[in-house]
Amino acid sequence: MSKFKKKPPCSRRTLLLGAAELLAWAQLSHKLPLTSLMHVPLAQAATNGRKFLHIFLRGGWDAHLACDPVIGTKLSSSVYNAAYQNLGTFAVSGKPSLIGGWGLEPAKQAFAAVPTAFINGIFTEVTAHELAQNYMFSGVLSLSRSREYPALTALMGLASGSFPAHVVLGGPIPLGGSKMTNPPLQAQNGAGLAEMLRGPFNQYVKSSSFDPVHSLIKQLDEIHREGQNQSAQNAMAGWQSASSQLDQLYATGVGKKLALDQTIKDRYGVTEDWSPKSLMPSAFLTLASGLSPFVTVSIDGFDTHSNHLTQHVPLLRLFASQLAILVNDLLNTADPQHPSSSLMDNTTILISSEFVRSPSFNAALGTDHWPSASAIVMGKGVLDNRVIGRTDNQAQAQGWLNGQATARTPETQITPEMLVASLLDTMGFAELANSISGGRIHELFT
Amino acid sequence: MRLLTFLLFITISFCSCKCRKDSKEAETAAEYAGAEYIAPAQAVIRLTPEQISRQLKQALQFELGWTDDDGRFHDLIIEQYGVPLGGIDFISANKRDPIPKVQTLLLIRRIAYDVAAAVVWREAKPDTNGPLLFQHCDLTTDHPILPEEREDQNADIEMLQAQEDRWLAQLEDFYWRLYGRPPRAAELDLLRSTAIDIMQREQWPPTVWVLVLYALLSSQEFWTV
Repeated sequence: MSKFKKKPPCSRRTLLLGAAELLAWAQLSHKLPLTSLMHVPLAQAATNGRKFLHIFLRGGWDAHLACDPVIGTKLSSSVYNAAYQNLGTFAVSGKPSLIGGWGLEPAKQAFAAVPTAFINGIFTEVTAHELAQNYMFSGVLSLSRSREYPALTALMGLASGSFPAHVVLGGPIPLGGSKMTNPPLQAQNGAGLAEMLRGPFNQYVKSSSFDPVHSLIKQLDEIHREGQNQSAQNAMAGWQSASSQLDQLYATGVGKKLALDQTIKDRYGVTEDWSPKSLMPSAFLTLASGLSPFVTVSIDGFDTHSNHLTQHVPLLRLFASQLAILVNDLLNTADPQHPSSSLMDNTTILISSEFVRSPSFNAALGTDHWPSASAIVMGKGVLDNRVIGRTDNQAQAQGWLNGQATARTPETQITPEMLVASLLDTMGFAELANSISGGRIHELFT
Repeated sequence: MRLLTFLLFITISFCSCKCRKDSKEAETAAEYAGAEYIAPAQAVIRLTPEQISRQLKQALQFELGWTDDDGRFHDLIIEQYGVPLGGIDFISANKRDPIPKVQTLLLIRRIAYDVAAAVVWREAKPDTNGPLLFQHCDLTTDHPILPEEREDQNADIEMLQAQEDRWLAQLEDFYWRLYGRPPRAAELDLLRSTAIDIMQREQWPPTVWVLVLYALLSSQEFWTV
């Protein structure tokens, strides 16, 4: 009996609760930073002026027309449509490893001018657009449509603590928990971003006249808030905090710097301000204006299930020609943060898509989804003249070991996780990178 | 018999729940009856771009957009600002953005100003049907009395007061149009003093109206329900 009278050092209930909590943390610790982002230390790494541009070609690009051309023994493979044999390829001056497909030919000068690496044979089992996009953007595979993980630019924006956290041009990207904590500035096109940031000002009203009006808006909102109940006030807390940041943004005058003037429109071939063609020049202006060092451009239209070549080739060549101009602009523009270097010196570019297209054509002369992905990285930190990963004569992703193609196994395959983790790592976000994956693509970055 | 009893039980339970729900609503309504301001019962949600577009059309008889060569109207709020406003996600509607963000407010300010400027411009240069909205005051002359006008020995105070009264009547009309209620005394004071400030800076009543309408259209109350 006496042993029951003695008070135990810890009750069974406390012990069980503690153990359960410990278990939960142990299991979830690697997931929390990705979903709720509660444990990512803000300003974890200073960006040191580094910039990151992610160009995402939505719909699934044809890597055979880009960085994984049909050459060598693939030419005799019956898996590839014969039409690929008639399309040209290009070599990059001074970089013998880089052989590109006809679709990217307009960008060959850009590949020659800056460190460039192609990554092929990234294994992705998911070929449903939305799921595959989320996977390639975030490096986290989730088969749930209701749960998304933040894209790598969102992670960079969050970890750097910058405001705005990042900029998204074009279609939406997965934001996960960062949607609530560190949302981006997002616009469907270049003109939308400039218009949004230009503010209400115009030449007919003195800018000083807006000061009392903006003060009035805040006071009217305050009166409105006083009449609300607590839950309503809580629901609109975001409005209040966002409102306090507007003056700061207007004061920078960044809206004017983002305006697409006629010179830049002519250079990039933009005929209408609201067209998707305005995305690439706006990406350049966003980096040049210093609005945010992390930019995502999402260009749509690559899901060509019919008349593939007549649709896909012009689209890819238009993108490639704009990429060449963008790289040239970045090379010739001084970095406002480091005037002795160009913007390109401090920018890393990733070009990717959710998957590649099938090597053979369907009945509508289109191509379908294929469980493999390709990407291109350019600029700061990239080891030049590299082609990492391979697809075989059947267009299947192969494994990659010690710089050689090998049989694909879970140990040798290149995955979106590894690509995202490698990029985060090279950008200085090692802790975030480890939370995505311990694997890296070797020989890709310095 | 058992089945009948079961069905009876379900029916009674349902009626009981419904009655309880109805009486709860009645109680809540009674609670608010007679109050000057009816607060939202639970929380607030932002209107979608479609709702805002419809609301602007109803309140101000104005649509922000353009008509193409085929006669099709393109609504800027929906087509151009829809996704960044967080109201429309073309990929899946269930990902609608739950919180207002900086970009939401940036766009709200842009839309509010564009609409305010366009509406006042339309009213200042009315077609043969006359002004649509400015029925209570003269858009180009009426304004709140300025301090310097009040101090002016030669000023016709009666006329100035009539101008101010008409201006305030027009302001109240906008409150009904945009918010479905009259302005509170504190709001009237704020708006009047700000209008005087703008009038002193700009010296032109239509500009005062542009900025006042801009403020009313930018407020949280217009964009939420």
